[in-house]
Amino acid sequence: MVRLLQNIRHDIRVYRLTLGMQFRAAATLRAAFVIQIVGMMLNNSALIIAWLFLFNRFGTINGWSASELVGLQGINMLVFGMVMLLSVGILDLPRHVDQGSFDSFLTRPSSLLTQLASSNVDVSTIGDFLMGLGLTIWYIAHAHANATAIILFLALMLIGSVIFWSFTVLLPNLLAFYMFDSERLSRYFGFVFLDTSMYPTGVLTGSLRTVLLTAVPGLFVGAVQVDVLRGLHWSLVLLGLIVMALWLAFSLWLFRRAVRKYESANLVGAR
Amino acid sequence: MKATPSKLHERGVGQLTRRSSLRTYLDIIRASAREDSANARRLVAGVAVSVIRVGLIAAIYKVAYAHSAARTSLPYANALWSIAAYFAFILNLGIRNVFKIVDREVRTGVVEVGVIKPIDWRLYKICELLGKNGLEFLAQLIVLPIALLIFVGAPDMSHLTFLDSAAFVLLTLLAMIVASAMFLTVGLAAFWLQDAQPVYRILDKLTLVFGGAFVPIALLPHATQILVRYSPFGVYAAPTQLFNPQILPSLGPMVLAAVAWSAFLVFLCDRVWQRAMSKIEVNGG
Repeated sequence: MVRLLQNIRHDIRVYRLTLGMQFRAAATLRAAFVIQIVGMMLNNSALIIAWLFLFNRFGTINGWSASELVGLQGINMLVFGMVMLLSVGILDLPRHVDQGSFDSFLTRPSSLLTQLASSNVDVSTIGDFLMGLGLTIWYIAHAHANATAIILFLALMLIGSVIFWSFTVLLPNLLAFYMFDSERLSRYFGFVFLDTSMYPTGVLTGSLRTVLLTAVPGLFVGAVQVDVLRGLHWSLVLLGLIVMALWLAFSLWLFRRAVRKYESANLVGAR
Repeated sequence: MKATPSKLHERGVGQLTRRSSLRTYLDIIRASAREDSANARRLVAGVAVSVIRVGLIAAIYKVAYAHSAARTSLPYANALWSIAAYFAFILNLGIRNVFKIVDREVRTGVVEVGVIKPIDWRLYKICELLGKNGLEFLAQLIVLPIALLIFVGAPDMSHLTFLDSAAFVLLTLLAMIVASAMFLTVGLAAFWLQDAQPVYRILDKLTLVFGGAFVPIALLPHATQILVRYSPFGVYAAPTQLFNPQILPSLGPMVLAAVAWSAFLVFLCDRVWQRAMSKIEVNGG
């Protein structure tokens, strides 16, 4: 047990140091750094405006208005920003596997996932994070949420982040261990999940809503948080916990299994 | 030995370009398409993603049309067919992606090798892109209508005559010219800008907002519709207007606007290309 804790502490320290170094390296080109962040904010604003036209035309849809859409987009950006800021390196997994550079991760005395996660940074995700944070705070104030709702909301943010990580970061990229040149395919799978969480799917009812709460739980990355801020929904938080635990356990199990399929390419080069 | 591209152009490329025919460019499209067909899994996944996206948007619009008190002249099925046309024509045919190819080749210097070949480098890049995305686009043209017939049913096309349909074919060709010229010009900006991505992103997102990605142009506010219709973004998204029953009175002016924008953007692209050519030096030897 003590050994396990020591290992975890070591992995976190290595992860923190590597990620910090990556960010410092990215920040050396000041102008590009700022342009990428601002560019991503403009990009996100366009997405919001595009969907706002729907609410402008139809008014309130099944209890959802333009404010809920802004809240949803803000929460989605915040989750996306947090997850990608901390683990975007995992998206390079197909490239590492295809080119054989995955060997270098296997030979180091540290956790594979933390090594992969900190192997790259995407500066533009800071833009997602900052814009998401601003819009989420605005929506919390707008919804006049009470303390209990905010606590439930925070719990759901953690649940949503883990689900999002499993579905867009880890699971799609595991395809690399089963087929060659899977990068674009992985991205497609990630997009599908992203769409289910980013579109105003909170207005949906019936069987499609059930699917989006369990099999492809995109509603937990924005829509459920909005619903919780508008009124207490203990049952949704409980369901979220179960769904998160199941999908996380499955993702990690599949990852361990997939890594065993990897065959070294004996890549020779500086590491 | 060094030679400026303009001189190269005069000496050899110019003569050879004249010799290269339409057949050459068709061959480029065919060769690119063959390369793309090798990855069938990706092709299937690309089509599947579009079907899922359209299905999801269809579900959202079904609720919107059912629960909202607001009334609109655009039928539910037509709205979805219009959005699907955006996905197929703008996202999957992806002419806008010519920016990425041009930007990359300019920044890495590969363009230097391209300009000494006996074909027009700009047309070569567009043909390469059309070939690369053509198969997926054709697959979408077959699969998406079937999916839409299942999801939302057939659109109401009673407003279209043969002449209107011909006008839409012309508009689609002009849309391709406008998009090619617009995104090629932004890509060529890499000759002067350290990073042309922000400019591309702005144009790309304007296309998304005003092209009808999530909300068809026919559902935008009236004043915005008029503004969009005659802008280059509206011309690029003109094929999505095929399903808009209210578009017919504006069809003539739209074609005129498309012709004007095509002429202007092709002229601009050519000017930028000439300036860019005078900036590069090809290292021989």
